Amino acid sequence: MASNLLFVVHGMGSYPAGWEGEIRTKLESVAQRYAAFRADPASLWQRVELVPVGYDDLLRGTPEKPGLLERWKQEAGGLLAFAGANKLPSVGSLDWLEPLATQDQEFFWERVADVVAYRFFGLIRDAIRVHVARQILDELVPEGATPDLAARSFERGTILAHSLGTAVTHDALSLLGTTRFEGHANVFSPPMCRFRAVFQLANVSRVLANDIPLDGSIVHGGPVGDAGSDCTRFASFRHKLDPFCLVRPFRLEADARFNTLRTLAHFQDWNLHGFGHYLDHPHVHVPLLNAALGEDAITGDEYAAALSEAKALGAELEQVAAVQAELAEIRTELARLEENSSLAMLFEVARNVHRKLGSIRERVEQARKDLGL
Amino acid sequence: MSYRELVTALVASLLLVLAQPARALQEGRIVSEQELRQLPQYSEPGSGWPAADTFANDVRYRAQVLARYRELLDSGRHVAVLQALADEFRALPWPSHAEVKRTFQAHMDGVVAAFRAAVEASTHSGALTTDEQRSAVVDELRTRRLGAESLLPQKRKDVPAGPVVEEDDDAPERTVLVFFAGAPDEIRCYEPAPGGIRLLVPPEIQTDLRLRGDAFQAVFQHAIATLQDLGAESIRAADRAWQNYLFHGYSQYPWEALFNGWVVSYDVFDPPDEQWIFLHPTLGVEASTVSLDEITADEVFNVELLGYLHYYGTDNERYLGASLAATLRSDIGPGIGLVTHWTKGFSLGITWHGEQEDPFVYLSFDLFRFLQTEGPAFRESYDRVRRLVGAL
Repeated sequence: MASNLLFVVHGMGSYPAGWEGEIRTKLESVAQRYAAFRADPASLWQRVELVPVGYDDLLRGTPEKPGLLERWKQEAGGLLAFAGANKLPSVGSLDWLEPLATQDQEFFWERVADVVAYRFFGLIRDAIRVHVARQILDELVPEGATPDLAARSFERGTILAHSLGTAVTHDALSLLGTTRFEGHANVFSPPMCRFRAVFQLANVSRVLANDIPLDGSIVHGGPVGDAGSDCTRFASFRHKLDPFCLVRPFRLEADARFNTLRTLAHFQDWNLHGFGHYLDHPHVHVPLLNAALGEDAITGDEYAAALSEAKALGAELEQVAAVQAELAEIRTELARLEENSSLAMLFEVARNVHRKLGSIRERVEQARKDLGL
Repeated sequence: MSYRELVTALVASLLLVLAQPARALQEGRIVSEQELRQLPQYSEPGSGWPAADTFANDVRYRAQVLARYRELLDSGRHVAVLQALADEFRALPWPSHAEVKRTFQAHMDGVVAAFRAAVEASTHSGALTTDEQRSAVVDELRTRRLGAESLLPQKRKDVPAGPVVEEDDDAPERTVLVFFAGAPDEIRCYEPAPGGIRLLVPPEIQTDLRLRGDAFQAVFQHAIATLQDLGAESIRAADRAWQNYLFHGYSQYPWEALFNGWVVSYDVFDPPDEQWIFLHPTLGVEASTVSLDEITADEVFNVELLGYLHYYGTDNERYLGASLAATLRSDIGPGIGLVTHWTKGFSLGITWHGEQEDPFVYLSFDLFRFLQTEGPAFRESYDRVRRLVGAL
């Protein structure tokens, strides 16, 4: 079994059993671009164990064991009736849920519902945090009579999270590293334990922050001995056209030697917010793969060449006339968002951008069909 | 291990170092990135190196250290073990890189001194024998910024110290492996150089440092293992209790979940053991209380107006509670009554509909289906109870 662990935490949406297969395939696909994995990209998994960390089993569940959201959806009137009649103290009314659900019900249940559940329902939020913390700890401090001390090296672990998963990961790691279990000193944090790296893609932890503040959080990179950080390297990414990252964008005051904040501008997929789209950029997957492997399997020269190619591809798409107008409309839509925009505004803009991107995709696919490509 | 055996082991380690080809000990050897990957001692901690297949018989290797000092470790004398390891390192001369050795030794001695001070403050015997003592030592070491990770290298970005700023450029990120990252006496293991990477710490010395640091971590891990086991079990128990409460317990509609989140007292790792029921609609069955020979049952819409549940059991897997409920049905006027909940899916109550003389028995669908299949076995007992009640 590989010593290196790559914990992958999914974001909003539906993630049935086996969801990590798509991430595995994507990582093999990007790894194959480089010499170390060109011949056999699957050899990556001989050196890294991918550990899926999910919470959709609690929210949507399975047909045999529906999760909370699925039960609520099946009793559909409940949430909407509540939405029409109640107000929440911190962010105002949920009245806006009804028009969202009416106009685009799938968008609501596939993307918005779990974000709303995590943000506003304390019981669900805490249950998810504990569920995620347990899955991470099960790999590092496994149950059993004989403790394998070498396995307890948190340095084995790289954590990769996306979208809603960034908020869940932040909260779970914060609790894991600060709680005094049974009244004893915390032994899951520095200077006793430190994760190797944490990668937050489409980082929305600040917009969804609740009772665990980001200011002063331990979830960032730092040197050995620094009890105020819980990993060696921390990297946060957002795409400049991803609406979910425009409201209360993630910020960090920390040492540049151990932390990265990066804005991406590439166009490789229509779903700019998607997990795969973020992984596609060399600035994401090269440091991620090298961190997960514990060595620089992808060389600096390969990294530089990949960045040049990514930049060229993005520039090509921007020059396509068919999409320029649509991109301009998207930018106009995104300009409606400000740092302190409400969640209602964010979801409305996200839905509109989602539709615009879908429209671009349809037009390009039609053009391809017309040209016989 | 006897004194003779220890000296033999130290001499063997020294010979191992000196036996390598001379060029391997040259300071500043330049290698390519591909060659660097073939030197696992420059990989990050936790990536599987050092491994038993290479170092099983090396006295510096963590498994060997844990075996050599098992008695001391099991009796809680971790300070003695760390001191012994520091002395072993001190006794072994290096043929080069004396400054690196001095720096590493100073950090090693600092860790030992801090651990000793923490143990002496927490115990009279100098041995860690209780979790309370171990916890106190961890708290003290945290204030001194020293612990299991202190002698491990880190791979950090090769940039100057300063606040992180948002980047959107196309320059690749460069990293470097260092010991004591961020400290004034940080040891850089390699650096970029024309034609490749210059090894500032040669491979055999790097191996020695990695083995020593890894062994120190192993001793700390031994010291805190029981605390980690306690913490891990707390998290697992909390996860089980949360799932029993939210997903196996009595269902909660969104407004109930919101309400309970606000009013019920709990902690994230100590889930709630109580639940308020509030305007909770369900469908169930109302059955007449005449003899079972004449029983009639009708579906009803039941709204539990206000109720309370208490969860119990090791992981809060069972619950018991009751609520004031109103039932609505098409053939007679609305009813009011009391419903009890006493196991998953089973609810039993009694309701009165104004114009009816006899009360009705309310059953959840699960309980009704259960009685349909198991009911005949209870029929005789039910009739006996009715006759007794009638006689009273």
